[in-house]
Amino acid sequence: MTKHKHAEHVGALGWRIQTVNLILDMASQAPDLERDLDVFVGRLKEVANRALVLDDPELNALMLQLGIYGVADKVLFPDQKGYRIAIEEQSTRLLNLMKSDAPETIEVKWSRKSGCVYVEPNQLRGSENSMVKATYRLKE
Amino acid sequence: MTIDPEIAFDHRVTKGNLSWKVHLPNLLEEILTNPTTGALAMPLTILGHTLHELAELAIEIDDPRLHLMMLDLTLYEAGDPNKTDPAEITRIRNLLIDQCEQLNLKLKGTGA
Repeated sequence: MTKHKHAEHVGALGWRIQTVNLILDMASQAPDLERDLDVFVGRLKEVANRALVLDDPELNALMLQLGIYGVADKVLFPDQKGYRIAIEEQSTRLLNLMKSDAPETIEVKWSRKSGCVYVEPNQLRGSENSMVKATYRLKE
Repeated sequence: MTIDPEIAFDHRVTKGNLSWKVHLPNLLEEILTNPTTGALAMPLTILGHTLHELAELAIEIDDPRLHLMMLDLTLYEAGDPNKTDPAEITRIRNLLIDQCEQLNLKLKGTGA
């Protein structure tokens, strides 16, 4: 039996996930994986810290959706209002950016069958000439 | 059902230091296939899709530190030892670490 609510649909804002609650319940129901989940939380915190530095509106919105930023934490801020305002602020920033400077479009191909996302080598500065594939496989 | 932590988790040595690496897809799959966690299937699926979006966005943002994090979470296939040669993973990882160092980015937790 789960103790917390983990995900809810917030109208046009899409899904709001309570990642911290979800991880807590995963750890209580699968104690063998507690150590693994600890490492996952550590990595997620690093991603959130980097996202704060990069301050990309789309990335900020994803962090909010994942409930990783404080303002999106339902325990700290049970009211939907703060979350809604924060998401809308990031959406406005994104729209303004798109109006002022058309962003470079990168074609991301995703095959649902293989669950892979990949980009051409020259699209990734960090990986030089490697074909870097991004993937996320989850049991459907 | 017995959970095998070794499937969901592995570690490796990079540039002489030990660093923890999370095989996130395997970890979530392990949790999903555990009969006691059935109630978490829906939120886990949503989490999975959102993390997939995060990986796509990280490619667009093209920040070496973020790439490194995605690689270590195995959100990039290039970081998946089941699909990519470990030597190639190390090569890509080292390239990204060099990029981060050139930009004076902190590498805490990367084993670099």
